[in-house]
Amino acid sequence: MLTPPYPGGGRVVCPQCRWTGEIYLFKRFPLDTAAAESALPEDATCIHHPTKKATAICAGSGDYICSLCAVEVNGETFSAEYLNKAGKAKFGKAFDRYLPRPDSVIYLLAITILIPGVDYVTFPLACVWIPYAFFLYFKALRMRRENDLFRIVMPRYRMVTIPIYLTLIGLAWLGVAIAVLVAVLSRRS
Amino acid sequence: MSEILKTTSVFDRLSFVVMDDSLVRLEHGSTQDRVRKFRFIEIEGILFSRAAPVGRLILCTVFFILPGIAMMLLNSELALVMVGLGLMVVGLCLLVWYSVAGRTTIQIYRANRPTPEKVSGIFRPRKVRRFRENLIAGIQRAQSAAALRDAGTVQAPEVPALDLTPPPIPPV
Repeated sequence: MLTPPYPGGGRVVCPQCRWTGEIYLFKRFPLDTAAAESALPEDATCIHHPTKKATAICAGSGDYICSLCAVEVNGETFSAEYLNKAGKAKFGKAFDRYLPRPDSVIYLLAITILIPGVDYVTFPLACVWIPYAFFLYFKALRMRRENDLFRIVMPRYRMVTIPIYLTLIGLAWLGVAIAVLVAVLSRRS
Repeated sequence: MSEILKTTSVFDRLSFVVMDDSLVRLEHGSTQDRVRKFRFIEIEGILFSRAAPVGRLILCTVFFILPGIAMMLLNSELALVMVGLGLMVVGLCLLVWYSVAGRTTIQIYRANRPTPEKVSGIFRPRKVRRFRENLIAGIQRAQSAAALRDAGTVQAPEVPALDLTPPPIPPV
């Protein structure tokens, strides 16, 4: 048993295996759950807590459930038991949260012109995806203003490097397009 | 206040971000990141450990330093000797970096969760130190605020269920 040095924790050494590290322990807070009302004899009771008054019906299983068991997903109430078993596959994704990354999409598009074989497709189509990439860039800038997490995740240097990359690719595409046009015209004449 | 710690692993790209009231774990994807938020008051323990990244040190020696030495000793042409020297310098730089940074493992234990959230990688020591300081300061601040809030509210006693069973009939 490792005992962290108090207060606040700090470096510890295991007396047996000589493992060293830092341990910080904090106060354990009770879960923040709404207290469920106890049931009176004529009340319907929760199927999982027989002494608690039922306040809802699980939309998945149809059971009476109390406020301890009730979980709201997409405007419907389900019991925690149902979500943990039968509803796991159906609602597992409902609790996932995602952060869109337009800056990563831009990098993904920009990298494709460096991959041999793929560049034959992506470079001629640069006139299509570069405007889209600029649209994503402005979307990223807006997200950076509005979303604290995105501001931390998207490094500041990307704000500068993305338009530079896109401009360079656009100029290269323009140069190649002009060269091809001149070559075709000179051959005709 | 906010601090980000990003793993350098190619296959398991993760970031931990210290926000004002929570620790956010980001699982990076190509177009979006999966966000998992851990409130500071849920966290009941943090463990930091550091070890030498033995695998990387061995790979670095095998692929850079040994071929570099071999090229320098077994060739007489100046160009090949210079290439060998370059390989050896790159290998030595990587070796020093891995030795100084080490492999840091951070485990975050949350209340009522048996398995900890774990992140492991080679980070700059200064970045790890800043991350640790911000994380611990944030948790302490959030937990002291929660303790104050709990102390200010009076918990109502739970009313026991009514016992309606008839009293036992006294023996005649």
